[in-house]
Amino acid sequence: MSGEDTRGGSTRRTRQPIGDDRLKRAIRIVRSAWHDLPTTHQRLLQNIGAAQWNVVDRPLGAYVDELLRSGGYDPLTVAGQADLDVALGVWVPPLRLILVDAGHASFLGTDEPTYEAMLARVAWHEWGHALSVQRASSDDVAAGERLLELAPSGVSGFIRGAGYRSREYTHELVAEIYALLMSRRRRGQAGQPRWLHDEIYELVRRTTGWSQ
Amino acid sequence: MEPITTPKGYVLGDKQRLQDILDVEADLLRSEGIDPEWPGFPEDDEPVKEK
Repeated sequence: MSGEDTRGGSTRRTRQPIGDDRLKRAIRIVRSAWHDLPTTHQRLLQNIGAAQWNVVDRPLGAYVDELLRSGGYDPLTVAGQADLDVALGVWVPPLRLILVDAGHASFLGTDEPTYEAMLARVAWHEWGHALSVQRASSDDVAAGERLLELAPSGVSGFIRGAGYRSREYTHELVAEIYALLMSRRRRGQAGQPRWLHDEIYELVRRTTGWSQ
Repeated sequence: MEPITTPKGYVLGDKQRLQDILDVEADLLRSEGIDPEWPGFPEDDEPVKEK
């Protein structure tokens, strides 16, 4: 069974069906990530209609396109679908739905703790993303480039390297920091980390309701 | 009908790997003296409903 695709000069893993047991395990992990959220955040997500989630084993572009068509929305463009097909997770505002691709090729060969940590990370990121999209101001969005300059270099490097547009920087930053704060909280740590700039921490507090 | 702004989703760049994300997290945790090893979730025995 080959898991490597070397077309285009770079090596990328190709996806394989993960099977029912692994998919059920993935659903349990995302459910645990949801239960791990502070109750106030769960309520906030419910209030903005972002508490629905689904874990699937299929590329998200085709699936989101199918869901949008079923809901009477315009379909995704071919390019939009291709972009989403490589996503690990996504918040789809018109559907008020968060999707996680448990069978993403990047997960191939990962050990169980890494799989669990990464799936939780994706779910927390998407819940943070949904809160940011709903609650960040237009000024916050406009400040994305400047905010990224204030972020830890590893975080800003990841966001820039992933090819997001500058108007997406604020939402991606809030989502990443939210996921990091949740991961830190899982380890029993509360409060503002010393590596997080005050302005970003205040933004995350304001947009996600973070008060830990 | 609501116009659709195509969501991009949570993606990795061409030169990024999953492990890179976790490595960044581990470095930040270590900088505070926090063990970066994933602590796991409590066991979830609730059945998974078919969707």
